[in-house]
Amino acid sequence: MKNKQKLIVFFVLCFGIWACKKADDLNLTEIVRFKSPSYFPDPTYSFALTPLSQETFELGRKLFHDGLLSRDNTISCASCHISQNAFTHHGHDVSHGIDDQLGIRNSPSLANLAWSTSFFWDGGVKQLDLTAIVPIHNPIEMDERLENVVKKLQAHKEYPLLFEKAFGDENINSNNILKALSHFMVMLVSDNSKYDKVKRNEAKFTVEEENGYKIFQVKCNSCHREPLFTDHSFRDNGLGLNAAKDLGRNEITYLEEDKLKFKVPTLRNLKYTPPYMHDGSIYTLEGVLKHYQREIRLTENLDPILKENKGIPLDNKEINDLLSFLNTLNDETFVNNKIFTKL
Amino acid sequence: MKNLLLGLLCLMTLLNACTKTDDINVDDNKLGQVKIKFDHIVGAKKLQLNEGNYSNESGETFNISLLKYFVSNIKFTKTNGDIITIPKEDSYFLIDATDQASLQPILNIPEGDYKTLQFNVGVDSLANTIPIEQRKGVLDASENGMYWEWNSGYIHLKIEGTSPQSPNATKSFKYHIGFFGGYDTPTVNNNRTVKLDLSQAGTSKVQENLSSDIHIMVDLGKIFDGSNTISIKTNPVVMHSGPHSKIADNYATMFRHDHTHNFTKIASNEK
Repeated sequence: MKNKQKLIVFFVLCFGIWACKKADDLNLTEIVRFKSPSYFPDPTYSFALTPLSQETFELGRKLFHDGLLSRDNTISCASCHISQNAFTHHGHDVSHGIDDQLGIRNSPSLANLAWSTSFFWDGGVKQLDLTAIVPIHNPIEMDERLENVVKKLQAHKEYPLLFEKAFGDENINSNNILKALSHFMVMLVSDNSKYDKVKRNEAKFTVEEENGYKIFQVKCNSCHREPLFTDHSFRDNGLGLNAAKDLGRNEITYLEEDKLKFKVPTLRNLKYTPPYMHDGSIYTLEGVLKHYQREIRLTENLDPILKENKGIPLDNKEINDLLSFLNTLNDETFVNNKIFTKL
Repeated sequence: MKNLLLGLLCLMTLLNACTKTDDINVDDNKLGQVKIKFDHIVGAKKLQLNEGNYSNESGETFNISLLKYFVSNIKFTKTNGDIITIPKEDSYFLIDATDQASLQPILNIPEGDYKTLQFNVGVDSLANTIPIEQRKGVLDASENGMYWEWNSGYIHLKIEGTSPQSPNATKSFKYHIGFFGGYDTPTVNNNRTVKLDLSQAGTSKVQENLSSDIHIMVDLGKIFDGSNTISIKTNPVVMHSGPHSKIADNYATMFRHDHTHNFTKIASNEK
């Protein structure tokens, strides 16, 4: 009898421990598990060498929002990549960095980077882990050296412990800084727009949206390929040479055929990310569609599809339907996700 | 008679001793040390950073304030033709004129006689694409100033200095030579292979517990007057544009094997 009681107590205790553990796990997985939506391609980012953890993600989030990464401690990644604007610099054609210096390109949205095959408008970097070093070292953005960031973080009262927790080493090194930032950035997954809900059979398009979707599939999808709404290619979309004389992809490859080619950007979250284009030269979506409808320049490397059709033939009803569809790509959950901004 | 016998014995010992030194036991399973010593010169002058005054064939005078370059993928060929390749992970060296220790990479290779030394000047395309977890030591992208961030890739060679002929306000010249061939879009590749014949100026004889020191003269004047003529006045700054590939052709010619010191004692700090 006594034994039976003991056994029951033992089982209850076991269950208790199990229940606690379960709850913890649940909490963890909810926050930092990287999920690739079923209708997305395979991610390009790999966690094979450095696994994602709650600690690496949270450290990356803290670093992303910390001005310490810049020379005078004023500019953080989040200065030009604001979460409420799908991680762009809303309202700025080009961003101002340290000492209010202006760049020449529009700060791109940081969403679904885990599926990107290259980074920046010219694709000059091929690994997400080597991306953050660019704005940190750029004299007109953060104008700092990672070696110096290491020193600042090492002398900080919180960071050494956070690096110890994340990487098992309180001796901070630059690769771990970059890694933590990547682990934050890959978690910026935008997959909860109305479009995504329709894909998951959780919602239905309106008639206009459905019409717009059909037009999109015929006239836009060849470059802005769903579900990421980019095919990751570099194309000249007929904007012509801007005042900054930015040659885009050509400044990476130095190939004539790459002059004025820029990365095809995603069409997700357009509501939060104006102005548009690599130089932020078009302020509204209507303006973008009008550009394709009748304002493209017949540049040397103009995309063949645009050349063939002298732009994208669209009538006004089609434009309205397209705008309705593009509106379904705005992901309110993504821009309001507190997990990305909690400090 | 006794004297004759003693003389014979002496002679025999001597002969024996002679053959002994010539006939070293070579054991492939044993490793010996090789030290590759890079001695920097400009023409016939020793390199003195900031201080030295040098000239090129274009009639320009200059000094050198900074010199760094990568040496990688080192290979040795034995006199019998066997090729010894240094494992990839141990095969990247950054030669920095301000860092004495960096000027003599030390390697351990199987015992034997080596007739050629081959290496790459620069960082090959493979190392330019490895994950950051593997970018350690001299390949750490954030250190050494030998990495282009925005057009991701290592700088193979960096040389800077001043010249009265430079059209720049600061009278400087700066050559930062990179490009590894591109990830997927093929671009220029400025890696250059250097193959040095050691047999003329001294085969490298590698023995366990001893060092074979291969002295290489690196004539930086060749950067201006190698297979191509590079003038500071015409090209004060060469990085992403300009004659970077011509400069790469030139730096491929600046290495010359001078001599080898075999069977030297290994300093205690090198062990």
